[in-house]
Amino acid sequence: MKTIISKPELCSGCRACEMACSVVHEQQFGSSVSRIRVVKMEHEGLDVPVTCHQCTEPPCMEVCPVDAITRNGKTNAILIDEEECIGCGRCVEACWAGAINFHPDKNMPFVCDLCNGNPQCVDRCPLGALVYEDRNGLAQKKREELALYKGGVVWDKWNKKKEDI
Amino acid sequence: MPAYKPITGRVLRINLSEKTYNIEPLPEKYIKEYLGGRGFNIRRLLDEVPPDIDPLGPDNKLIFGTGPLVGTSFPGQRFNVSAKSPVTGLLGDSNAGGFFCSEMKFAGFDQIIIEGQADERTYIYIYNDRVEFRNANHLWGLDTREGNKELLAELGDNDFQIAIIGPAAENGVKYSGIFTNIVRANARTGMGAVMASKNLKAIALRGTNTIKVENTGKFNRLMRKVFNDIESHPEYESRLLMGTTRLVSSLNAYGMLNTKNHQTGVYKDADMVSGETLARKYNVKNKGCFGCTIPCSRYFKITDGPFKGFHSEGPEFESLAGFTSRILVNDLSLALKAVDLCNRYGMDTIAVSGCVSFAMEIYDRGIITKEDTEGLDLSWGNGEAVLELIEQIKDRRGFGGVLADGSKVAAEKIGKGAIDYAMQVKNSELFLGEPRGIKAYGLGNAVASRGADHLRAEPFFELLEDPELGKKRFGIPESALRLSPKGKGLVVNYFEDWCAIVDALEICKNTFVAMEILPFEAAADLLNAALGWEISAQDLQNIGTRINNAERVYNTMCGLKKEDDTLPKRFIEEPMPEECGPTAGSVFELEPMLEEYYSARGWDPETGVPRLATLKKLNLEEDVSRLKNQGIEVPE
Repeated sequence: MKTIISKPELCSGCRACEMACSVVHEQQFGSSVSRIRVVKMEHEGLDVPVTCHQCTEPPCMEVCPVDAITRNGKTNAILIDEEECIGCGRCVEACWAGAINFHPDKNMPFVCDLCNGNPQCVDRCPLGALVYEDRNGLAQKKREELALYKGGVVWDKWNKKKEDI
Repeated sequence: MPAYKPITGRVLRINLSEKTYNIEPLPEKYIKEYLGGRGFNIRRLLDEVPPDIDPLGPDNKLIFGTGPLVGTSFPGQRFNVSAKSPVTGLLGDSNAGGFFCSEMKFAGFDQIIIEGQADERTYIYIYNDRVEFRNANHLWGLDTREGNKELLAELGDNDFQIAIIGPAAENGVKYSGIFTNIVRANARTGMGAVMASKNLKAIALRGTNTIKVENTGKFNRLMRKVFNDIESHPEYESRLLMGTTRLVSSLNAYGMLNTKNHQTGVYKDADMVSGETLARKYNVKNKGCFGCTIPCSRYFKITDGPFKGFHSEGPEFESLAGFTSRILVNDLSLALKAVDLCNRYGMDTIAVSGCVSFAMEIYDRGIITKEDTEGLDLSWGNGEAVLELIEQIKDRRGFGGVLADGSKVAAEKIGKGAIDYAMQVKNSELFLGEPRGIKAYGLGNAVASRGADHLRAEPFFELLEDPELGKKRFGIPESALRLSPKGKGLVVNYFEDWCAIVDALEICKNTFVAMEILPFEAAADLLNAALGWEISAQDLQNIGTRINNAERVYNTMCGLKKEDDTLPKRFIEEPMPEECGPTAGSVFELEPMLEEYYSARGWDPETGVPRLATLKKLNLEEDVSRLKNQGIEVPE
C-alpha cells in the first residue's frame, strides 16, 4: 500500500503542501487546517514535512474508545468517522508523529486521508520532497541507490548509459 | 475561527507610548485604489505621517503591509515595512519574503501600524487578535539569530514568526533592518533603526485563521497555470540551482559587474566567488519563501578553511557580489561570513558593502590614512579588515562610526573630494550591477522612490537585446538594447508601474517581473477570482502608476528636488575601461533619459514635481493641497 513519504533533504520548507492540502479539504487556505505540516527549525536548517504515516498497527485506532477510526478499503488511509467520533482526543495523544490535529472550528480530530489516492500535497511539491509510494517501492529505490553507490556509478552517468541503450 | 477574504480589511494599530491597540477597518479607498502592501503603506504615510517629522522620533510610524495574494497558494509571498526613512529623509520602504507575511494574513491583518515610543524595551506579542506588550530587557543586545532563538524558546511554539532587530539598530546604525526567518531582511532604508527608536526589539506573531478566496475552483485553475509557467521557464533550472547568485558570472562576462567600487565591470577572480562555485562547493539544499515553486534560496555549509562547519541560508546576488567583486575579496567563505555578520547584527548588506568599498577607495587614493582608520589597513581585498570594519560599523566605533550613516554623510564629514567616490543616490548605496552597462537599471536607480535601488523598476527587459520587441512594446527598437539610452524613460516608467503592482500584491519580482510570469492581464484574472472583482489589466496598471506618483508626492513633500534624481558623476563622466569588453567605453547619459522619464510620468521637466493633470487623473487631488500647504508649486 502506498503512503506519503517525505524527504527532508529535498524540502525547501516553503509550505506549499499545506496550502494544497487545506484548499482541497476545506476550500480555504491555512496551515491550521492542513493535514500535513512542515516543521521548520531555521537555526538548524531543517524543514521536515510531517503527515500521517498510515501505520500498519495504528496506535490511534487502538485507543479510540468508540471505534471511530477505520481504514479506507481502497487506499488503506486512516479515516476518522465524524459521526462516531466524540472528540476525546486520545488519538492525538496516541499518535507518535503528531499527525492528528484538532480542527479549530469543529473541535474534532482530523487527519490525512491520502486524497482518495491522489494526494494533492505530493502533486504540488515543486522539489519532489514528498512522494506517494509503496514502502517496498521505497526500499527498492534505496537498494538501487546503494547499488549505484557501491558500484561507484553516479546517477547522471547511469542515466546517460540508459539513454545510450 | 474566521475565514478571512484575501483582503481581510482589518488593520492592527498599536501605540507603544500608550500601550494600547485596536483593530480598525481598512478604508475602502485603500483597497480599491492601492491594492495592497506597498500601496497601502504609501497611502498611510501620506495620510498619517507628516513629512517634517524626525524619522527617529515618536511621530514616525512603522507600517507593516501585506497583499491580497498572501496567505493563499500563490508561490513566493512577501511584505513591505515602511516609515519615513532615517537614511534618505524620504520615503522609507523595504520588502522581504519569508513567512512573516503569510502569518500576518492568518492572524487576519492587511496592515500593522506601530506608533509612538515605548518607555521601556519592549517586544510585541500577537496571537490572532490578542496583543501584549512584553518586556524585552533580556533580548536587548542579542543579535537577530540569538534573539530569534531565545524568543521561540520562551514562547514554546516554533510556529511563531519573529521580526527582530539586531545590535546595529540598537546602536543607531542608520541602515539597519528588520529580520525574519533568520536571513529574510527588510534591509533597505533603515526600518530597523526606526524600530529601535521606538524601543521595540521584536514582534512575535502567530495566526491560526484561514483565507477563503471568492472562486476557489477558478483560482486553483489559474494557479496551476502559474506553477506550470514557472516550471517550464527556460531559466527555471539555473535559478533553482543558484538563485540570483548566477548573476556574478553572467554580469562579469558582459563587463558590468560592480567591481572595485564601480571602477570597472570585470572582476578577474569572479570564478572563485561565483554562484556556480558556491553551488558546487557549499550548497546543501534549496530554501524557499512561502509557497514558492522556484525556491531560489539555498542552505549552505562551509566545508573547508577557517570557517569550516559554519552553515546558514543564502546569500543572494547583491550580498555575494557586495562582499566579493565590489571590494576585491576573492575568498568565498570569508564573504559568506561577512554576509552572515551583517545579518546577525541586523544591517543592510548593500549599504554595508557600499560603505566598505567607499572606504577602500578613499583609502587607496590617500584621502584617508591609517591615522583616520585607527590602524585598520583598508587596502582592496583585505578580508580580515572587512570583518573588523563590520564590527566597528555595528558598534558605531572607530572608523565604522564615520560610515554608519551612509557613504554620502561620511564623505561630507571627511571632505577632500571624498564625495566623488560615494556610490550612492539620496544617501542610499547603489546596487551591484553597473549603470553604464544596463542603462534602464541606471535610470531606475537615479529616480527610485526609496533612494538608489534596482528593485523599483527591475527592467530585465533591456537585457533581452531584441529590437523587434523594443519596437513592439515601446515603439523604440533601442529600448530593448542595454547600452542605448533611447526609450529607457519609457521602459522605466512601465516597469516601475509593474513592480508597484507586484509589491502591492506582495509577490516575488524575480519570478513575476524578471521571468515575466505574471503580466497585468494574468494578475487581473487572479485577483478577480480571488476577490470577486471585475478589475481590468488597465485598472491594475493605473494603480501601479498611482502608487509611484503617491510616493513621488510624499518625497516631494519631504524635500526631494530634481537634482536628487541623479547618479554619482563617475557614471556620467568616466567611460567603462577597455577591459570591460562588450560594455567598454560606455557612459551613462542621464539628461535625455531623465527628460524622457519625467515626460512619460507627467512630471514637470524643471522641478520633477507631478503635474496637476497627472495627479487629478490618478485621483490624487487631495494630495495637491498637501503639496501646496508645504509651499510647493504644482505645475499645470
